[in-house]
Amino acid sequence: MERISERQAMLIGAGIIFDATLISIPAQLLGVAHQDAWLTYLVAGVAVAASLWLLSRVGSRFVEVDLYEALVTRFKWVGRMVVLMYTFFVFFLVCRDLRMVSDFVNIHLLQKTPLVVISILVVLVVVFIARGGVELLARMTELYLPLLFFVVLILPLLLGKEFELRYYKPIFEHGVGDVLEGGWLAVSYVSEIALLPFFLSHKVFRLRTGLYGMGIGVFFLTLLIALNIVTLGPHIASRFMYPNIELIRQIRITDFLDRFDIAIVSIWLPSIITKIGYLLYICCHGIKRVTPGMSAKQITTAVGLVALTCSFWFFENSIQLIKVNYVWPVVATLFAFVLPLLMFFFLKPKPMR
Amino acid sequence: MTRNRTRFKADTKQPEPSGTPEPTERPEDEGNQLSKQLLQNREMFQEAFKNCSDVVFREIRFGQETALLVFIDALVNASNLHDNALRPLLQQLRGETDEVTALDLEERVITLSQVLKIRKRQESIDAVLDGNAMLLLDGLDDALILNVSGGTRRGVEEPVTEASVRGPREGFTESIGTNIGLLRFKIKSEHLKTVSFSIGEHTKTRVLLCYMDNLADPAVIEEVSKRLDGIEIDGVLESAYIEEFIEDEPYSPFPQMQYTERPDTVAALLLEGRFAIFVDGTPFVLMAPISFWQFFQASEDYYERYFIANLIRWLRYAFVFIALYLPALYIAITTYHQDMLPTSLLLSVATARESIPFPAIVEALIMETAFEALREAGIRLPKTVGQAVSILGALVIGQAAVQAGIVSAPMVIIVSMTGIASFTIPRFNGAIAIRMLRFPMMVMASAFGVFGIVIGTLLLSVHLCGLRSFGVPYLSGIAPLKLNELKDILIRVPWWKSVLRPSSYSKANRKRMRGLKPSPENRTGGNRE
Repeated sequence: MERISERQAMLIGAGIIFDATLISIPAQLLGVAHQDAWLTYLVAGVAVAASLWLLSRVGSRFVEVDLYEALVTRFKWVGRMVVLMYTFFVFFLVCRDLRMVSDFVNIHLLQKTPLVVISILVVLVVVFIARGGVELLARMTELYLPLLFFVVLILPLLLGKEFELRYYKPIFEHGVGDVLEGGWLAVSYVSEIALLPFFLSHKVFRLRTGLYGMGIGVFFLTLLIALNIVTLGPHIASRFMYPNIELIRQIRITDFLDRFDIAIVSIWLPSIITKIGYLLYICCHGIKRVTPGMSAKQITTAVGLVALTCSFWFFENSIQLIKVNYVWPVVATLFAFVLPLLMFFFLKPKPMR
Repeated sequence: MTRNRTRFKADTKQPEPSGTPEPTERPEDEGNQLSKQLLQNREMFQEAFKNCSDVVFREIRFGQETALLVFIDALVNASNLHDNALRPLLQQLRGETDEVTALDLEERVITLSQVLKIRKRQESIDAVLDGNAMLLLDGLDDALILNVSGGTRRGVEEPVTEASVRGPREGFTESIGTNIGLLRFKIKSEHLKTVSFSIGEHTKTRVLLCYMDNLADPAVIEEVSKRLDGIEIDGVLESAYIEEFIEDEPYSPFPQMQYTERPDTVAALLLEGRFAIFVDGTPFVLMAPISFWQFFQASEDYYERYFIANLIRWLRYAFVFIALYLPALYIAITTYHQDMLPTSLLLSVATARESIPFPAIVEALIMETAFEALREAGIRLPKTVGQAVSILGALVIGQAAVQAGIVSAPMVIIVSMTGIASFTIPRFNGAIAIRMLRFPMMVMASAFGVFGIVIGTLLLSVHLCGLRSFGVPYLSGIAPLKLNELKDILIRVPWWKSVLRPSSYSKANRKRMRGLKPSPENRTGGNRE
């Protein structure tokens, strides 16, 4: 049976939060909360911590198995229905992230390459990763995520001379409401960590694992958005499609060393593709739970290809990807808070007679 | 006159201890048994060795009795055979009148260190083919196998493929006996076990599995023994045959076993809990389990001071990156991401490439292919012309190609740097894998730029993360992260800090030493004889 360590689970949690969020939502957060946008991830983190606590309490009742297994075993039909709902939710995330990465590469790196070709390449790698199982996912994360975190950590050193600290003042200029609204938008991405207890047992993914992972992810997201504020300023940064890329473009060490964006994007791309791999794995894992006779490994390729098609079908262009961020928190709240709350009250082991 | 008559008789059979059933011989074994009649045995072996002109049948007469010595001239040590077998037989038994048993010959007459008795025909033939001499006696159904193996073999020399500035200079040879001896000189412990296998239907190659039984994982040893037992092949001529039969992923370009000619390397890895496989007829010894990071470790890293070893190791990591990615990066940047280059460099490269009729990928493939062909040809060139051809390749092909406008000067530099970088990798089998993989990277870079390089890297990473070497993850140390093993991957810590053995290979008995930093206060002694 495949096993991963708590440390690996923590890194997977951090990666799930960090990788896709940094190109998806910063511009909207800056547009809503302006110079206070650096607080929005913290607000989302506090809310998601509650969800993790709920799921951890449920998981502690079924220590040896993951929550998918617990749901299906405890409630045959209702459990399968819930698993199916989560599976569709995760499938949508796969389509969204796949389209997001393809759009990003198309806009930033390969402007003349057809979008579908880029998507096919990404799906190819994602399928290979997901077929490898959770051990492979964990090792890929351990390989690339620390490198990405290291790069983000040295960004303040590289961008130090571009800082304008006045940009983050005045604090709470527009009130706390904007920060809370930003937190509401951010919660849809930060709450993705709540998917981990559904495929990792409580032995591997406990509350502290989730909190550490979330803490690391939120810290780096906050660091990046804070750098955006003090380097680009909230007014300009909120008008970019990818403010973090524009941030990296400001790195200029000497006349000779001034184009690091492609290098840093090359370090980030493996992490985001691995993240889509986790989601595809969770999706296939869910399908396997609903239809026990199916092998999760064998359906990975098929599900990946369907996700490729749906990523073009669901989102006509990249603007729709931005627009979905404004409605997605409602859906994420259902899966990250409402359903875990119901599980907290109703999902318990059968009483011993 | 007393007739000197030596008569041979079979040894008196000792009764079996009670409770031990006698092995019953199967009917088909009867044809495989030796006869008590020398003439019948002689005919049997002459038929078996028909048309083998190098097999010698030497009759020895003792009065009225005859014995027969069978051996292969090129495989035996003639002086040993003469001094310790023939001379004692001829001189001591000349005047012997009492009956002589095989036991007498074994214990009193023949002065060799090892004498075995065999009753089976095929085993006797195998023993002769292995370099032993066989003594057949009339009236005995035992063949005495005299260990007089010799023959002409290469002596112990400095390893050709793994030269070092500092460290032992002896290397393995083709003789497995010599090789085990070289290892025993290093590890003087009763825990060093050597399990023997005979593999190859026709070559019957002797293969030894060596491990430290107090350090190695028993499950791994059992698994490798099972794999060695399961090999069915007509002949084994090199350790590569064994490697391909027992590795975990036969389709992977990355080797899952390491090979070496150095006894010190084998000893070091055995002391970490791994196993080694010696194959008769080749100086290359296989070792496993291994990890990807071992391709960047050389024996010399552990003999020089750790500052120097660390610098060189980081240099190797940087050059591995260059060996794999430099041509692909050049293609990607010049084709898709020209804005990544500083303006002055961009103008310089653009000027150089202006008159080149080929796109960057074609240019790169031409040069890389020529370089690989030159390298391959260089292996087989006679030493006398090797130098001249190197100059020919460097100056004529490189310079002339640039002047002819076939390739640009930056491409020649790129290819040269890549070639030099690939030579910095200490392990040849790892270097080959990296060298071969740069071609698909170049193709991906030409099609998709830096994104193609990223996709190629990801596919490579997926493969490496999923690869195992006898149960040990291939990237063990980094993925999965093991902090204890990082001290020999990212850096080389001083020996006094290397207290624990790597946990991936030695699960039991991990503590190697007490780990005292050398200082005047920490002198405990205990090593004097």
